[in-house]
Amino acid sequence: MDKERLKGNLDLLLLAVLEDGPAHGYAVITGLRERSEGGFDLPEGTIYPALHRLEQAGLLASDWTTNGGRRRRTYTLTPAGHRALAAERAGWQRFARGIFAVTGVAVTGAPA
Amino acid sequence: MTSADEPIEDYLDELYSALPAAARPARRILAEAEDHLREATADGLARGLSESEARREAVTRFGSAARFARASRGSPWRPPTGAVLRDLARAAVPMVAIGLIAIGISGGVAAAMNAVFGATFVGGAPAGAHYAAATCAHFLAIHPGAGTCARAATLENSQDAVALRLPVGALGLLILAVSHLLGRRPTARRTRSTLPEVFLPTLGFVTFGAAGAILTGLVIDGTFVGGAAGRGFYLSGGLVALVTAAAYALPLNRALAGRPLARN
Repeated sequence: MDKERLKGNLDLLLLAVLEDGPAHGYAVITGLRERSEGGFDLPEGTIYPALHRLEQAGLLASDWTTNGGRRRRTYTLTPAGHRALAAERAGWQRFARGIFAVTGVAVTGAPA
Repeated sequence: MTSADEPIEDYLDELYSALPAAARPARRILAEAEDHLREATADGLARGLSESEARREAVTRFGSAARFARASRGSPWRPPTGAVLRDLARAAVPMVAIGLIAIGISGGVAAAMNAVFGATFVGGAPAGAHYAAATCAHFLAIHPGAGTCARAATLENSQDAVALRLPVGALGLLILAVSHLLGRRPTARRTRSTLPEVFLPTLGFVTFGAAGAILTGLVIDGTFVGGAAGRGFYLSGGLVALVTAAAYALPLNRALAGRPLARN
């Protein structure tokens, strides 16, 4: 997937990764890379402004936690974040169905 | 810190200088970036990279510091005009106050010169200086014991150099004290300045250095001095301005020494 298209959908992807539970920034980018099987490989710093923006929008909450003596910011999906993720998913399903119907493209192999 | 730390330290330095002015978000972004880079380094080490390779890879994967800082401010980013004006005002107030205090101190120096070298050194007009009759009458009324108009003018100028400058210095002290107290209020917002660290000491060094050079140069040249007063009148101001410029040179040197060297 090209980087611009990926950035356009970054909020949805971050919310989806955080649906599994609270995580700090590095775990989020690692989760994104692993779940996309290496397909979504953004400059890692890119996610922090996006996480901060989602927090300001009330879709995420964050707090400092200490793990192994290291202080880090952990992000959690808020109830509003869960609702936004569900709405985004439904929107994507409609969009993808339309694209598949028109182009005849079917999803095969690894995401890219 | 070993030399292998440098890619991360350099990156964090670059990021710090490019971050937004507000202290809290800037600290948070810096802490998150450092945590990320340390964790990415640990991952690299676990994959068999050397420490130095792991740190370089962590920095490369994180992306450009300037772009990261820009994205953190919101895009497209421009320095907020209000913040720049606020920081210019914050820089100007103490500098104006220090300028006024310097004038006051020059009044003290003029008083010392009067005491040591006599009133003519500070207030003496050159030979042949002419005063209007009304001015002479004014000077003689204030200094009836002077005997001549020239002597009365000298006494008046030498005293003015002290009496008019000292209250200006007191005003400067008052402004500095009020500004300091306002800055210490618990409600005062803590922000990083949008101005470079070298800005204020450079401005102070150049402004006071130029004033000191001009005033001292006038005394040495002697061409323009003496229209209304003696050499001490200008020298007192010039010396204080040069000392003030020297005082600004110290933080300027510190700020320049603290800047990372330009990379090739």
